Order: sequence, then C-alpha cells, then structure tokens
Amino acid sequence: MLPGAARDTNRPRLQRAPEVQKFRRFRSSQVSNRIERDSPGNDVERDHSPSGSGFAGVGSVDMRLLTHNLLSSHVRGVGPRGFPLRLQATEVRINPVEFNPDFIVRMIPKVEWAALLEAADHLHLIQVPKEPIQGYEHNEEFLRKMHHVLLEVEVLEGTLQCPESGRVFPISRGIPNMLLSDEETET
Amino acid sequence: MSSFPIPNGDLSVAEGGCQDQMRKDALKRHAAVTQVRVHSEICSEYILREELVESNLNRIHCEEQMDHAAAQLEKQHVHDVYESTAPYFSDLQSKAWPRVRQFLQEQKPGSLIADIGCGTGKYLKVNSQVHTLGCDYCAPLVEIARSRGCEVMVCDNLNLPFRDQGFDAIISIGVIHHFSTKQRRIRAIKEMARVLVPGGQLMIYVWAMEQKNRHFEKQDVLVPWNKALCSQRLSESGQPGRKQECGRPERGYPYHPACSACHCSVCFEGRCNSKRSHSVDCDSVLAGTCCANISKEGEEENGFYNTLGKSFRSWFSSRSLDESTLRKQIEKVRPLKSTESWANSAISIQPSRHSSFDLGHPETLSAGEQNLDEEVFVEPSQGPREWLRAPTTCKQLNGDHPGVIRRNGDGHFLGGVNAKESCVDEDNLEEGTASGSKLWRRISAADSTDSNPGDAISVEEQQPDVLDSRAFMRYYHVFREGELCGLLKESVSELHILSSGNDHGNWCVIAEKRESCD
Repeated sequence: MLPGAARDTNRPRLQRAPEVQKFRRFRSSQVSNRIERDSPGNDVERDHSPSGSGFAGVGSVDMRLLTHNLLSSHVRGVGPRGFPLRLQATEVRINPVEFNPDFIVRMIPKVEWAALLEAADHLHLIQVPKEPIQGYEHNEEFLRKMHHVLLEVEVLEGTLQCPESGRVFPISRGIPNMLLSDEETET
Repeated sequence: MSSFPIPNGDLSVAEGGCQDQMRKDALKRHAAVTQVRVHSEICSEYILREELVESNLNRIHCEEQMDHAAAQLEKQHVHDVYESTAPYFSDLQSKAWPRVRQFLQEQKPGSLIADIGCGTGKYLKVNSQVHTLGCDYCAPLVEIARSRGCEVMVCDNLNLPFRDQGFDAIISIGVIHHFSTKQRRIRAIKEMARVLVPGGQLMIYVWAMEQKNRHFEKQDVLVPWNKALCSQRLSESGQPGRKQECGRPERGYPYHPACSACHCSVCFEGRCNSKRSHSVDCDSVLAGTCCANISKEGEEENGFYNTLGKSFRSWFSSRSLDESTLRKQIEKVRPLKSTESWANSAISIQPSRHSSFDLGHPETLSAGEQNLDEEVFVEPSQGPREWLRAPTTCKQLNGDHPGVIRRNGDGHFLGGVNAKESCVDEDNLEEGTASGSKLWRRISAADSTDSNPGDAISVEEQQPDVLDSRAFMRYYHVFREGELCGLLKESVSELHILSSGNDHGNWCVIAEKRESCD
C-alpha cells in the first residue's frame, strides 16, 4: 500500500479521535526518543491505538518529508538557491503506512539526499544514511528506514524557510502554504 | 562614420607653406565637420536608443498593468469564487474522468505525480502505486482534500514551489482556462514543464468553446454558479452527502450587490458608466441568457418548463484581457480605471438569438449520479433537444444607457452577430415587458440543478436579491479547437505533444517534456 491509500484492513487502524491524536503527536524535540526506541520496521506496534478499536475512516495526511524534498523557494530571483527549504516543526506526528518495498526502491533515486538529511536532522529523526547504501534494493532494513523517514513522519505545524531570501512559508494543519503575497510576485 | 570628402588635388595646387597651411585648414575643417557628424550620429543613435528603451519601458509597463489586471480579474472571478463555494463541496463525491484516470493509472509504480489545481483531490487517489501531491490555490478546497487523506498544499500555478525536474507526471485538469491572459496561460504551462523530469508527461484539460449543448460566442466568459442548486440537490436527492453538482470546485463568488442604476444584479458595477468604450474584443455580450436545469421541483413549479422540459444555459461575456486589448486602450489614451470596475463593467446581459436556449442539459444532473465537476466537463445531453428562441422583448440597446450594455468604441454593439438582437436594458428591467419578464422570472425561479458554469441565471432578474444570493461568476477563457496545441507549439517548446483530442467538451493534450532541454 502506498502513502495516502487506505490502510491494511487486517491491522488495527489508528483512530482519529482527539485523544489518540494527542497521543501520537508530539513536539519535534521528542521525536528522536520515540523513533529510536521503536525499530523502524515495527509498523504493527506503532499502529496500535490505546483502545485498540477499529478504524474510523480515512484520516488526514500532513506534509511528509518526501514532499519536503520536492519543495523549493520561488521567491523572485532566488532560483536554484532556494532549495532546500529549511524545515522547522513544532508539531509532528507519526502516521504509519504500510511498507511497500517496491515503491521505496523506486523512490530512492528520486530523492535529493542532502535535502533529506537536513530535514531529518531538523526533525531530530534517526540517523539517515549519508547516501543510499550499496545494494539498497535488497536491504530491507535500509528500505524500512527510508520508508519511515519519507512517508511516516508528518509535519502538522511548522515552517519552511527560503535559505536565500529568508522568506518563511507556514505549515499549518499539515498543509504548507506556498503562496507569495501580491507585492512579492510583482516586479 | 561617413567620410567627408577631402578636397584632393586642390591642395596640391598651391605650393610651399601656403599649400601646407591650406591643407592643414582643410584637414581641420574636415575633422571638425566629421566630428560634428559623428557627434550628431551618436546623438541620434542615442536618442533612438533612448526611445527604444522608453518604448520598451512602456511596453513593459503595459504588460505589467495587464498582468495586474489579469491577476485582479482572476482573484475576483476565480479564486474568490472557489473559496466561497468550497464549503459546498465538503462531502461531495465525484468521479474521475476516465481518460484522466487512465493517464494516472498508466504511470509507472513509484512515480511522483503532481495534480496542479487539484481542488478537493478527486484524482489524488486514483493510483495507489504512485505518490501524488495535490496543489491548489484555494485553501478551503485543499483542506477538504487533506481530510480525505491526500497530501496537499496551497500554491500558485504561476509560481510552483518545486525544484526543477522533480515530478514524473503532472495533471492540470480544468485549470489553465482560468487564466485570463495568453501570457499567463503560457507561464502556467511552462512552470509545469519546468518541474517535470525530461521524458515526463503532462496532461492538460481545458474547457472547449465548441460545445454541443451550449454556444459560447466569446472566448472570455463569466459563468454563473448557482449555489442554491447544490443545496436543493441535497434535499432533493436525499442521498447521504452532497452530490457534487457544482462542478469542479472553484473559487468563491465575488458577490456584488445589484447595480443601483439598473437594478440588474448581473451588472455588478457600482457606478454605471456608459461612456466607457471598449475595443472590439471586449464586448460585453451576453449570449444565452437563461439556463436552468430543470429539477423536479422546477417542473412542478413551472408549466413552462414542463413544456420545454429542458434546461438552458447562460454565460456572460467577459472582457478579453489580452495584450492587444490593453494596448489599444492605452494607445487611445483612455484611462484604465480600477480593474475591478473594469471587469465589472464589461459584463452585460443580453438574450441572444443564437444562444443557446439549449435544452437538454446534463440530466446527468437529474440522473443523479452526475458528476458535476462539470462546470468544466459538460456531458452532452442524451435526450431529445428542443430549441427555444429567445423572446425578443427587450428594447434595442441604447448606447447611452447606463449600466447594462456597453458599446464598442467603434460602435459595434455586442459583436456583429448580436447587433440586431434585442438587449436588456434598464427600462426593460424596470417595466418588464410582460411575457419577456415573466419568462425570465420563471426561469430564474426554477431551480437550476446545475452548477455548471453557465447555468441558469436569469438575465433580467427583477429580484436582485434572489439572484444575488445564488449567482457567483467564474471567469473562463474557453479554448478553440487547436488553440491549446497551438499554444504549446508556439510558446512551450520544451513540451512535445503526444496526443490531443476532445473529451466531453474539453480540449485535452498529453505532452512530454523533451529530453534535451536547456
């Protein structure tokens, strides 16, 4: 299954009840503890909600690091120096997604690795390898790690800053707002 | 440097010092003259350059003004409309267009895809093997998409916040036709090409001018959306959740109070100015007055409708924002008033003989499973059609008449074709020729089930409040056959067209980004 798609019907799904959400959300500074404790491939454990009850419906999806990897500042005159955007998060959550190794294998070559490293670092995530390791296509541990970093970490609240101009774009309720004001778009 | 003939031979006549002196004098004269000549040449060259610069600056200034006007028009008649109508789409289910769906499903697993102008995200989950990112200018719509489990963001098609060559495929369904100048349309397409990988594909859908059930006389139109239809549908159908009759979610309506001068709620101008002249392009012609999708309730209410049994379509002509138009205006040294009043004043209403009293609207609507994202995508009517002539009850337009009708600068009135057609004018609105106004009123009273652009709005609405509460006007530049392809070939060389065609009243193109690009 891929990100955004419905979850595996066999597994208990995350309830979107507020208390569950609170449980799963935390400040970005706490993320590292949580992630390091859990092993990357342990989706099942992370999937449990306190009550263990069934799925309440398709939940919302917030900004993921795979998306961050594509974002660049379009402030006038900045060009390629607007990438990558500097990510700061005040609220992050882990949203388990079913692991699909084929998908991850295909995604790896498309990732701008330095940008990913930087973003993962800002979110205090587990150490991401400096580059795709040799033979990564068959390395499940590596793939699961990347799956987690790219698809399961969601930013609910935070900012994206243009490294060149300093312009800040907000992320609120999981949605980045990349619109420039009228003054900024006019010459 | 032009040469100045030196008197030769003459100098050689005298001999000795005198000769030398003469030569020197001649040379000096020559030099002086040459200098002057050079100087004047440089001067004129400089002046020419200055003029060029100035004319370039003028051109740039014109372009900026036009771009600003375009942005204002789009804000008012695209973005604001979508934002205001977004709440009506919150629980609508709409199906994806088959060809778009097919395009998405054909993408390789693991592809990164962007839906630029995703609205409520109906294409974002078509293919679970790819990663699709939805983008839209309208935050409320994007929120809806997010709540459905799609990853989305708010951004501007003209300034996509993505690095170059990030996406394997992009879809732009019913978006480009909302840009009000050719330049902006090109810019939007170029932006999408920029963020595509070489070899990546782009699919574009735009509304076609050539329609089976509707007749657009102009390419730049404002189409009303009747929000009452949506709520009506909801109660009528009794289905859980609302039907997306309202077509592709669009920006909110700019709601304008009825024009005080003519009591016409469609003429949105605060101050009616009949003196304003327009160039040929910007006629305010309204063709196809009234269109109402007949709902059950409508039929019950109106025997008239029972007779006709079909629906009407309406749209309002908008002023074309293209370069030539603006330039002409500036050349004529007419002050360009605030874009808002400009855009508003360009709207006029007129029942058109040609129009389209089309009948047989998407009973897709009445069929109930209609996916109305159809403002763009109109399904041709399946049933028999009847054509009704527009009642010519309106008086001939009076050029001085404030508010409703505008004339062209050259005296053309609402386009040559419509010149003879009767027009709605203030008097008519007020007095209301019996049958005509009754007709209009009836039509307006009928429930229009279609949020389809161009749906049922009574032009001669005599109850401004009724219309106002329903009407939102969305701007479209409807495309002629071949226009979209032409645009790509002419101005977006980085894209190579793979296929093109017509799909349910939309011109569509699939293009590929060339491998060898700068």
